[in-house]
Amino acid sequence: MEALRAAFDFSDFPRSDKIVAGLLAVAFLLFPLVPTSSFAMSTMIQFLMFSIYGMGWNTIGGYGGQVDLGKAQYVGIGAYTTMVMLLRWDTPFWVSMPVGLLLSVAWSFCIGYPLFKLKGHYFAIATIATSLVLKDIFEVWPLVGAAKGLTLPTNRFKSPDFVHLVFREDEYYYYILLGFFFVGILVINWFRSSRLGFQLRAIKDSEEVARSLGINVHLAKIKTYALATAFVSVAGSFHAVYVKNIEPEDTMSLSISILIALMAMLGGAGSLWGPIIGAGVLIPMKSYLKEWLGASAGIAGVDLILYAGLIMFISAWEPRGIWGIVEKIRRRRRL
Amino acid sequence: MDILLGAIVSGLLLGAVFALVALGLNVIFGVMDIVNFAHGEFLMLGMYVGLFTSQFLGVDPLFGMAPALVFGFLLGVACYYGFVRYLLRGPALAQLLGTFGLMLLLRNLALMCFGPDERSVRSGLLVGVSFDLGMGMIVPATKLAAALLSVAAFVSVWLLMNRTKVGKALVATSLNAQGARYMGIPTDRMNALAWGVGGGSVCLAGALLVNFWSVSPGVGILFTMIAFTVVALGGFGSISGTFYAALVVGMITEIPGFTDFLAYTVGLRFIGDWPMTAFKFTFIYLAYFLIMLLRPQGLFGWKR
Amino acid sequence: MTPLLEVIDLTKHFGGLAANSRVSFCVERGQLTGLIGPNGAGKTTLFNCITGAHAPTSGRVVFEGRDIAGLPAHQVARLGLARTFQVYAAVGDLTALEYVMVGAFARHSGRGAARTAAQALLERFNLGRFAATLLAELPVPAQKLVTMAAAVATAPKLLLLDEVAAGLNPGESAQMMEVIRHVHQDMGITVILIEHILELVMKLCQQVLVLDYGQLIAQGPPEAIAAHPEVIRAYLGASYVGPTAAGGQV
Repeated sequence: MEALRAAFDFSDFPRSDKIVAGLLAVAFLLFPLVPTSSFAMSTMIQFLMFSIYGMGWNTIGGYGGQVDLGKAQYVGIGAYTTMVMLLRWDTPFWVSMPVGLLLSVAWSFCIGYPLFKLKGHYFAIATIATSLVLKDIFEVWPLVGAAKGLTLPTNRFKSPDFVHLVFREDEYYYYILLGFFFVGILVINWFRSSRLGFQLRAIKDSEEVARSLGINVHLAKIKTYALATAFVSVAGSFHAVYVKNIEPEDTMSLSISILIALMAMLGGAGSLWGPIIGAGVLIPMKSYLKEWLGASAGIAGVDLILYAGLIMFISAWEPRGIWGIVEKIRRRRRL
Repeated sequence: MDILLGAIVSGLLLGAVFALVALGLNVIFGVMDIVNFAHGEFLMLGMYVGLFTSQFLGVDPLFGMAPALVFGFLLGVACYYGFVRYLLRGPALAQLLGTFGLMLLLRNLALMCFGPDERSVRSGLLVGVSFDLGMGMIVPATKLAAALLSVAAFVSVWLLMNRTKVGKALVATSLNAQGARYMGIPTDRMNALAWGVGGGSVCLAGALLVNFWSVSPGVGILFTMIAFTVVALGGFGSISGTFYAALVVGMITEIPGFTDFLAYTVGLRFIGDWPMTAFKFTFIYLAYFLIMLLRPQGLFGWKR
Repeated sequence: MTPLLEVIDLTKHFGGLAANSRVSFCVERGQLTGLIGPNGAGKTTLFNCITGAHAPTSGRVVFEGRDIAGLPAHQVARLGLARTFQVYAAVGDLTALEYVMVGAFARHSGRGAARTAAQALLERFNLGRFAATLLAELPVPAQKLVTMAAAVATAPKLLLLDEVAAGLNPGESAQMMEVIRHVHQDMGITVILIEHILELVMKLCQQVLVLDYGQLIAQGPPEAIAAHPEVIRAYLGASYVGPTAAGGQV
């Protein structure tokens, strides 16, 4: 089918890009075979997870230009659906994850319809508002364990369990997540050359012109928002079975939403590789800063100060992010 | 009955302070169409200034108003000249990103310097004093003083904007920057002034707020949301609208009080046994959402 | 034969200002109509009301026998009514080809088909060499041509052009004229164009409409318009109306 062919079509990237990407892909595949600390492994898993969050965000926030600061609510819906179904009914991951996805997408349609009547910073604030409302609800809702959250008892399932995705060793998690990661890249690759992707990019350029070319702006935004939600929800479900202990404060907080948006914007919103680059820069920075400066530094937010500085720098000098700088250099060289 | 009256009075007093909090946001937005995501962080810093003034100088926390005002003004101007000015030439997305980054920077600098713990004012002339206004309405003196001072500050800024030459220049720039420039009003300086006034007033509000509200580095975002809701309800661009809207928003935080009242008198219960107080601010977020959908220009403002 | 577009008593008020006042005219299929008038006469507003960017205060707009006044802009576009914009600054990251593809996607749902159609159109407009250049980096005349190509890519039956020749030097103007002629005659698209370059209007158009202060003050073939006293009064002032001005230049 044309869609599959399009997903694998990277022909518009220069050869050097494809070689680098290929090498990185091989590196990622071989990574667990190289003896490294468990710390490095968990950092890599974090990197992959945030790449997926970021790729999702990128569809509506990057290509579409609608800065969404409320993605954490879908992390929550995905994570909690999986966790609740697992704890109550021993539901396999491969069932609970799609259910979480459906719930997330349904919710995204509900709030997307009114949300996209707003623009720019009004929209951004409204996304924050909805995410905080949902978090507040989860913090008192007994079904999801209220503020204490939910925990998966360690001996409930025997590792390795591919049905419920419970493993003792991180390597299993890594490869499954890597699979999601590659699928995610293919989906974004499909998206950016699809009709919807083009519509979004036209919308970002000028909504008025987009309408005059027959684009139903409102509907396109809602559809893309649902796509972004799907990414986030899937990664959220994964998060639940990986960390095995979730609570609203660390799954659905504003900081998570901010981090997701930040990474995509830093790496280059509106480009395929941007969110991955962003995650690749920020996640290791965060982890290793915590290691070197001690746990207190992590809590004190020194890493976030660096992020903040980076973001301020990027917004003032190159709003297109790291990838934007790369492309700029390339264009200059071509001329 | 006294629950209801108590809730109303409390809401109004809080609303008065909210008005001052939101004022700065409106001024900045009015003059340069930039939304300051770091607004709540300015407030937070103002709160710390107020707190430390009283702790280190041993004076009543209300005296923290003056240093906070100066601090806020300087911080606002510094942020403008040092950073925000460079955002203006970029796309709206960059502006959002930028003040967002500023928010993160300020919040985490505070976290690094002050630690994550909540702090509050412990001693002062009015701490622990309450006024009994009759009918069971007991009002903490700190809250009352803060509210009155907020109103005074609010009116001062209003007078500044509408009665002084500088203020009118500011309003002119907000209505039509280019036209104002042709009249000889320097836009750059007006922008800086807007940030100064905005920063100063919100830090002042912080110094007042800290008298009855504990401060921690994370308190900013809540107040950014409150400020946004107030300005959205009152109308971006309308200063008097901000005031009335703030009173309404202040009352929204007292909705748990109202529902308690209804439960008590009429036996009406919402959402079963869930603690409504947990949703104190949830209602504000919901309110923002509803306002933007139903009446985006607010009660008094104009559509931007 | 039913006209392609019929505008009946169109009125648009902005607050107290009547931007368009009881404007009525028809455009036949295959016609090239010019819309002229002094600045602020309400020409772009008229376009906006026809295409759905604004909803008219009163009056009707009938396209192919169907009432379209008040329909959302994207639906109007899908019905076969395309337009360009007078003021437009490209800020996005679309290349010229991608931009035209956006238009093509209105008619083709597959990316391959859209790309082929867009490429062909760019060639036709002599813009092939710009295909991979970012729209924002193209010179203004080329940008205008690309936006026009995008509008044409939606395969419209009626195309509204808003001052596409503004700011062009004589050589570029001549090129633009050729493109408009091509779109109109070779591609068979009915065209209405807003223009200030009257020579272009007089040379190309079969019918000319003149707006002044929101009202349609004259309509007819170019020669008749050039001599029309109301038109002369609107552009040059009442003192020029008279026997000496008859048959003169507008």
